[in-house]
Amino acid sequence: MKRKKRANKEPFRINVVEMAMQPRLEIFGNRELVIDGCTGVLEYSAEKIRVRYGRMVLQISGRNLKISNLGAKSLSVTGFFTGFEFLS
Amino acid sequence: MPKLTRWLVGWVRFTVKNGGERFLNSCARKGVLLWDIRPGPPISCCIRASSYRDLRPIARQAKVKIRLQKKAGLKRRIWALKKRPGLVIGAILCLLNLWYLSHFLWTINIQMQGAETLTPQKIEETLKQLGITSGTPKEEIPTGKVQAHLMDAFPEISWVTVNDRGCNLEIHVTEKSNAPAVEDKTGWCHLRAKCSGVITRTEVFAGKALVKAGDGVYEGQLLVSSAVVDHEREFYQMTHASGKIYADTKHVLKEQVPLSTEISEEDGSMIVRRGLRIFGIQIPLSFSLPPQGEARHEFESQTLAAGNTALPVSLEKEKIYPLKKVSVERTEEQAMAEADRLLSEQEEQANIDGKILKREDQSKIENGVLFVERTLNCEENIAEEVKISVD
Repeated sequence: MKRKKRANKEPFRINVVEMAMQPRLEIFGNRELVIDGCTGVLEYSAEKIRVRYGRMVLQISGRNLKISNLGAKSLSVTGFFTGFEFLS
Repeated sequence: MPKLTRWLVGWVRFTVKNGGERFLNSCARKGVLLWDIRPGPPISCCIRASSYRDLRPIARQAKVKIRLQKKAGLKRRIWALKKRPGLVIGAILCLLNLWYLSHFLWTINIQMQGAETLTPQKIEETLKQLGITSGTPKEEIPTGKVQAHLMDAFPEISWVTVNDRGCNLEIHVTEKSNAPAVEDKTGWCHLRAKCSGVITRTEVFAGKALVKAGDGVYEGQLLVSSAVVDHEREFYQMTHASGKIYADTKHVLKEQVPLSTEISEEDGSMIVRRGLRIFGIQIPLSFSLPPQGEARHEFESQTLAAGNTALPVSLEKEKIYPLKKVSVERTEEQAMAEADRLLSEQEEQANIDGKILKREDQSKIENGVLFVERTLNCEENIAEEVKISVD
């Protein structure tokens, strides 16, 4: 029984640690997006934005895309999103 | 809120040529905050006006060219106003004026509840006596004292509150509902005749009647005595005499109306004088002087209001109609009608407690004057209470 209980708690502990280390992505509908932990903008146009997202590259496609705020490690994008792609 | 902060701090929009992404990353690494980044080419973005200079080394490092596109913010707006000092001075004076005027009372709002005898005008007059009018400094209004003074001045008030809300003085007055008056039955009193006449009937409720129907009485005669004889115990008992003694009475009213008289009549001209009243101070807007001699005046006052709030500014208009003396000749009928009107007024003033049975008019004209003598035959209550002094 004790082993079973430990086994149930294990995945939760791992997730918390990993979550703190990894960049975070928040999407509000398909109109606003906030990326926390982004380390750079690779490509920027009204139809496509590529950003460095941890060890991957996040490609956002859509229409009238615009970076509304750019900070040291955060970024917020507005526009009409049509797709997200994680490229490694 | 961020927009307002940015506007207060001041911001600039600039364009980035040749490789905007690299420049954006450099800015992010250096901790320079950018917003409203519009995709290009060329990419354009906004930055705090004070941070724009910090971008030059970053742009050089990123091998891009930045160009200023637009400046905005409070500082920029003030800079633009430097060319128009009149506007700035006017705005400052307006603010100073508002600040200064906010120290004074603008309006007095009086709300009455259950008011039957009191009117807002009476309250306003009392406030004027206390020196509280539109334009009084707010610091000089002790609301508690005003409340107490109003309570003292008007005993019919049951509840009053005085509150100053901004530049408005709100007064809520609730009037007492008076209890019906209790008939004074204390002490001893006789009933005496208030006028001469012949008694027709008597209704005595207390006391001893000294007259009966058919008796003739003169003014001041004792009608009902308060002393009642108790034959069993053989002593006088004093009471509060009450009752009604009806008698046939006669009243003579006299009036005289001259056949030729002078009356004041408008001469057809009119003078209009306008004025402006601000905080109780009247500023004349017309230069015309009031006419000499008699005149009829008409006043109109229009208080300016912002929404439902009355302002301490009112426009006043005074119409003056000069009067001239005109001699008028009356016919005998006209003079008689005038005399009848005057005699009817006298009848009302006589306050007869009964009914008028007959009116007889006798008239004669002497030296251009109509003399009318009216005789009233009435049946009325002639009893009048007379207190007996114990001293």
